[in-house]
Amino acid sequence: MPASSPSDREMHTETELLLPWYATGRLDAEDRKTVEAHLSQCEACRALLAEELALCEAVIAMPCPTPAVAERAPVPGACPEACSEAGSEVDSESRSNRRSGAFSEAFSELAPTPAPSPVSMSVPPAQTQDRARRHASGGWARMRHSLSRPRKPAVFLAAQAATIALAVGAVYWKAPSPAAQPAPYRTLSAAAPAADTAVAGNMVVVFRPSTTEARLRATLRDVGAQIVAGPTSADAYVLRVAPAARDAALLRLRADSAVLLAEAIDPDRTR
Amino acid sequence: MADGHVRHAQSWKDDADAALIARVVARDQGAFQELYDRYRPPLTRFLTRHTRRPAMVEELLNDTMLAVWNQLAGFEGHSKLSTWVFTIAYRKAARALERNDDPVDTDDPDYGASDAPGPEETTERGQTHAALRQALQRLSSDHRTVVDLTYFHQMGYREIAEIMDCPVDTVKTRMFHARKYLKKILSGTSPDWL
Repeated sequence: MPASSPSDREMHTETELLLPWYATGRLDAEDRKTVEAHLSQCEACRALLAEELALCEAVIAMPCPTPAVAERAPVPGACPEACSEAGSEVDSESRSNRRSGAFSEAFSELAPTPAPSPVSMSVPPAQTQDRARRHASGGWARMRHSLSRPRKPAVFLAAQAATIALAVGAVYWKAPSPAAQPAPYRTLSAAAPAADTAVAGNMVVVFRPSTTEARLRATLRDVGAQIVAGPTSADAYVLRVAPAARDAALLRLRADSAVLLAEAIDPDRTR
Repeated sequence: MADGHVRHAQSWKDDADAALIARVVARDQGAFQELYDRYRPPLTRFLTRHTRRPAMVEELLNDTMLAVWNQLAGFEGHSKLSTWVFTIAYRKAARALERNDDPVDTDDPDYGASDAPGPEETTERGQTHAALRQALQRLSSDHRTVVDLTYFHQMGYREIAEIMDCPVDTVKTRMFHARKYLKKILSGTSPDWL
């Protein structure tokens, strides 16, 4: 290595740092010129480049550890073929094939099918496995379902909440009743809350896992919110606050250190 | 590798054309499905590599794409669309990891639950894959993500810095240390890997 002067050593170091992107052809013209000027006079860096290319090829060729995806058998951790394919599916033909598969699945899922098994909310390992299976069988279908609802993004969580509510069956609760608004009764296994504006949630909130129940209650009281549904499998709660107070409530919740996410889910509302 | 560079492994990463973006902004679900199909494979891989929790990947993917659906109107094109989308995915993954106490899915065969070689690992190529796989899983998630974004997703260091919200020098040094470690592991396990 002819790194005899400080400048040479700097060039050598800089070249070594840039080699991965030189190998992948992702350097801009100036960086590329720097690297090539140094490579032309540094044998050590040329050897490093050869290693770099081999390492890059090896990483690209590795089977991808992706989980089962939408149109594949939904068995997490047991899909080397699907994983491998997902990792290398970069050509337009395979994309096209997968896309048509996703379409098929989307529409088959929208057709009447037996209800899914109830989701266990009390056994974490089973929940994890079950969630993985549900996810694996959903993909675009779930996404499409979310888009087709007359709501904005956070309604995805609300939809999740409704699904969980149906799964847990005959669970009833009485929401707390702030003075300003009488608390309505609502069965979680009842019809979709969207049809009932009196009890429909208008925001979704996720608290930090470390939030105590007392803190959660205090936060809800503080903003005058009632729980409409939840917690979902993603630990989200669908809440309702008086429409006029919602913006202020959202601001306060977002500023609260115990809150990870607070989003409006009103259909005519933009983010 | 004809010109001394690795051929791009990706064709998906060509950014969506303006017409497609405009259609999605106009709430065209067909256009959005096209975008979804384009990003699902690379995002699935990216999220799996980064989180090492396959069970949460699909949810993160959909959360990411819902954010794209709802926020694309605000995308001003200062970066590539792919950089913007990966940035959303990275942030969502980071938040999910913050609040997720589940252990990494060590049952996933690609996460080296067993040291015993599988049938495919008896070949030299298989041994290299196995060694590389185990070496990758020993890297921190940030180092592993830089490696994956650089080699597999073929992103430049500036794009990676934007996605991971860190200085470009951090990306360079993470990559430097990661590949030094990977080369050491590969050389020790399979002398002929090069």
